[in-house]
Amino acid sequence: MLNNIIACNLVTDNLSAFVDRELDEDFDYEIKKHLSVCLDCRRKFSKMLKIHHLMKKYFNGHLKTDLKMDFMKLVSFI
Amino acid sequence: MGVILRYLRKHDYKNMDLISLIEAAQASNLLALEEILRRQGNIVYSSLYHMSPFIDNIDDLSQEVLMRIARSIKTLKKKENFKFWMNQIISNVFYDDLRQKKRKPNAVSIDSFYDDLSDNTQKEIEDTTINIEEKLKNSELDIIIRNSIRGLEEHFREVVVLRELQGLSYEQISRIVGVNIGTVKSRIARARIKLQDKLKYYVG
Repeated sequence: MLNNIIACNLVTDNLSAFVDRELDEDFDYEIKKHLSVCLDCRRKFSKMLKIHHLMKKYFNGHLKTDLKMDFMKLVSFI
Repeated sequence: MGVILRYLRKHDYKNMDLISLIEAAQASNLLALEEILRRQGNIVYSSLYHMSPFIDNIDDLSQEVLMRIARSIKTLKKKENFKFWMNQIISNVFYDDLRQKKRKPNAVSIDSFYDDLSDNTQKEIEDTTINIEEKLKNSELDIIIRNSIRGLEEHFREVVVLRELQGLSYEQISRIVGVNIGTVKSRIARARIKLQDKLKYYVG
């Protein structure tokens, strides 16, 4: 039981880095294994993934806006 | 390469990859330099827009960053490090501006950012069946997300912009921000938890 709690905490603490694929291969595998059996952590993972996707979509939307700036004029100052 | 570039027209630079553009710009090709600034302009603007708690001088700051890129492009040794190098310039300009204003980060009340939310926005927050794709096109949700990001503390906002907007790795972020990778990892995680809380009606 204690092991399960520690495992869940460890997984929860690393879900964000897991979403970003910033964990080493072995640990990444351990988290995948844990998520396959733990519904509670899977819910937290789902939320983490959703906020990551929401931010990406939001920022992508902002990058599509045309910046009104005279770039040639900027370059001409150099 | 230099000889060929001399005969290229402005339009041709749009199809060139970034590394080739940097090489050309370093050889004093102004059209290549212009294309680099054009491509990076929105990223620079959007990064500063989301990093800064102030919205009055983002155009000026963006222009300053692009000027510094143009002035110092020849000093960039490893072309593949351009993104990292550019982000160091963005960070420098951003913090120089904060220092000039003699204000500490987070000096602006977070609450003030929520003042412009209309009644309609509040009604939308209560709608838990919202289609995110559709709602992202809606400027009101855009305001809610923007305010949620602005409501984060400075050090959280910075890593969110570098990670989600710029797509930088934790290692690159740690070098730009000047903290170790563990701190970057922890800040991104905590920032996301805070954003989850602020945007809970949209992420379930």
